[in-house]
Amino acid sequence: MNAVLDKPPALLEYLRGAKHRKLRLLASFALGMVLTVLLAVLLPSKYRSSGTILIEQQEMPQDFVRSSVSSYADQRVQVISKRVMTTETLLNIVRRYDLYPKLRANATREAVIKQMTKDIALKMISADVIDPRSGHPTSATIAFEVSYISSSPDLAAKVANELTTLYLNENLNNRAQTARDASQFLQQEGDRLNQHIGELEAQLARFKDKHAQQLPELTQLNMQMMDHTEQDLRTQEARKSSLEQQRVFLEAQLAMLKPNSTVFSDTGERIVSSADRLKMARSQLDSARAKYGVDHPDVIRLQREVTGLEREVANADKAGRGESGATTPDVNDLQRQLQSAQASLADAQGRYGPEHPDRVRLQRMVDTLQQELSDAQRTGASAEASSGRHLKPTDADNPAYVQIQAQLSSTINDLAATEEQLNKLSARVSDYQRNLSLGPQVEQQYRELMRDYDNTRLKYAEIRSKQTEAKASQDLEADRKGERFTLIDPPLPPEEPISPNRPLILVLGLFFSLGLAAGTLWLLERMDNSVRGRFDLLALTGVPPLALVPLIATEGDRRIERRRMRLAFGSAFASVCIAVVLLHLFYMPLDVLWYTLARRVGL
Amino acid sequence: MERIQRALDLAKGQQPDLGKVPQRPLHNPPADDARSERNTLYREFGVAPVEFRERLPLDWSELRERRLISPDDTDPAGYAYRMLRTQLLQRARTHGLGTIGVVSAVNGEGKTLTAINLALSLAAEPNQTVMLIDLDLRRPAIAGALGLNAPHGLEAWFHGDDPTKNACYALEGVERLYVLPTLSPVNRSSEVLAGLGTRRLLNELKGRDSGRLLIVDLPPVLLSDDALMVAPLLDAVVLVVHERRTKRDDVVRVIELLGNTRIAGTVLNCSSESEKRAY
Repeated sequence: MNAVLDKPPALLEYLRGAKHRKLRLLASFALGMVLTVLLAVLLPSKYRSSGTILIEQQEMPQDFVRSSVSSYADQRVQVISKRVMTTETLLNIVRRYDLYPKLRANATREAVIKQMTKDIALKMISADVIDPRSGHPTSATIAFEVSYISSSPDLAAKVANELTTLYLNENLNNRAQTARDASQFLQQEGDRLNQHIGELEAQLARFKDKHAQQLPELTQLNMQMMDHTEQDLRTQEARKSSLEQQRVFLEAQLAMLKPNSTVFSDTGERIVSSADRLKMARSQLDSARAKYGVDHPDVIRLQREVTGLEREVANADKAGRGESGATTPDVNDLQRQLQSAQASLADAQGRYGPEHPDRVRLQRMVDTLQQELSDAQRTGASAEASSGRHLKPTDADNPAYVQIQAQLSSTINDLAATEEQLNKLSARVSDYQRNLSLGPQVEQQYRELMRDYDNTRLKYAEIRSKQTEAKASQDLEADRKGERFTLIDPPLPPEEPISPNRPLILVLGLFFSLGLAAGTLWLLERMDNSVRGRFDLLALTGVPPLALVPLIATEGDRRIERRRMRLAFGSAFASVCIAVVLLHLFYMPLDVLWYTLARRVGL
Repeated sequence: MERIQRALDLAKGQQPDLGKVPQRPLHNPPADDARSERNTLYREFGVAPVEFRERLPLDWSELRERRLISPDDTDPAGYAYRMLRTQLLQRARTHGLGTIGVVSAVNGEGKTLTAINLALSLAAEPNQTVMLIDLDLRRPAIAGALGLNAPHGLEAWFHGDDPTKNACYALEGVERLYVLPTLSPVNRSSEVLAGLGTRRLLNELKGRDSGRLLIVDLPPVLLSDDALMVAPLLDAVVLVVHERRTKRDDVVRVIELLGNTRIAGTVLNCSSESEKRAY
């Protein structure tokens, strides 16, 4: 025995094993087949009813009215599906048609809903199209199928009908709702923008009001105006200086004229006015005081004269315009007197000793004059300031004087007016300058405001136009002229079950049974530790067997074999008969089957 | 009948010693104890009950139903047994084997069947005397298989009240084959087989003719120690293995248990890969 022959091929071994255990293998095969047939016969039939819903495109051309419902059809179908397949809806259907009575009795509501969801199927039907916008081939959903599986064909059709109705209604509601929502949103948005525009306008008005002179559009005008004003200013200045000159000239002229024309008496003597007499009396009084003591009759007389004259002058003044300047000795006169007195005194001091009467007298005179001057200065300062120096005495009767005085007065008036004008003009110039310097800053703010305003207005216009479109779309949906679902294939009670696929189960069962038998054989062979064949024996004992005695067949064996064969044939025949009966009862009546087969084979 | 007669004559001529075994005188049956002791002594020292007394008839059609193969059967099994016979004879002659046991691991593996068929096949060989001895004392089966209607069996030798009773039979239509059946189970078979009687029986049966072959049907090796008791007394054993029934472990165990006993070979019974058909 060489090593090659040590072991027979395993397959042969298995075949021998199969032959040895054919009964058991047959039994396992039969068990498999019986289970299969039972499964095929006893599995409840399931019927599916389905309705096809066509997704129709919008009737109006998109160029005319664009629908605001712009999602893809299949996406929308899914959304609608989620809305339809709510627990509430499904439970309603379950209750109405009394679905899953057993499950409802035994299991939770969730389990019922889960089963229901499993039995409902949604299938998209797509077509390959070329997208008119992009030109790329794509697949578009043109329809979808809603189906329901039930053990009763009628129930399947009813529930499928219910479901398709739900889908159709939900789509209408959904689209209308979407269009309405869009329109409403745009309306709100438009209103909001409108309000915003109002606010911006108010803001702008306030801004303009506040910066009326500094607005950028006025810059040019402001500059021109400033130029003009500056020119005016210069003109006014020139005029002012000329007026000044004129005034100075007039004053000089006036100074040279006496207000009163010289009046001569019949005697040719010049009549001195009270004021002049008062002056003279005063100077006499002063010199008398210097010469004599206070109680000197000259002094007293002069004093009386002065007092009388003063009263007279005062009366005259009172009668005129309340002028007080004349009542007090003229300061200039006093100074002049004082200067001459001081000069005399200085002369006397050089010439005489201190107790010289002249010197004493001069000294006294200077003191008095100083006293008077200071008095006059003190009392006259205010009166002088208010009255001015150039006021004509009311009693001025010198025509030249009066004329010059009138000229002077009008010049002074002009000068004041010019002054006033100048002030005004320079204020205006400075105003213009301020406006111009503020200009850029204001401009920036103004631009910002304007930009905001313009943007908002643009947006508003846009929103309004969109709103119009949305309104049209809403009308479109309301009139059901937009994209819509049409039931083209309503669910009908199916005539044939979709499952179980009994022939398939039988075929699979056949294979399963064969596999079962093979598995049984394999298992038995693996578990069996008995001697098999001479090679086994050779391996075990080290020597080949002396003889291989086959099974000695006896007449009894043959008889048994024959009986077994008869039994096998008999049972096979019986099985075929049963199978035919089952076929007739559960699958298809035999006559129908016969015609079907005949048609299939070839008419 | 002529043929039978001729065969009988031939057998007588060939086996003079068998015929010449003197018939022992029958003593009166003594008291129980004494008789038992005498029987033991007889078994140990006396001659075996091997005197050929009578020829028993065989019903071949019935034997065929029990799967016994006559030497001229055309059944493939006959061919297999002839192959077995030839190989065994060659071995026996080469190694001087006189007693060959037939063993198996457990019962029901075709041990007795093999023994009988082998004996029948061997006896068909010219010049070969074969003695078939049933030492399966627990379940003796040879007599039943051959349908022998024998008056005594080996149980009488081992246990019976009279060990001198003859238990050796020839068969009708089969020359050179003598059968020593056991008719009923023997109690305490193990001890019985361990006794000297067994050795003496075998020695006696072998006789002086070295050409004679003893085929001994033994009990299953693994079910009792009987076979192990007898095996050392035999020259060799043939192990019968039933295909798809004998466990591999059992075969190994049997070989281990048999130890020093020569295993002349194995026979694969009920083999699915039979020998080539005879032509």
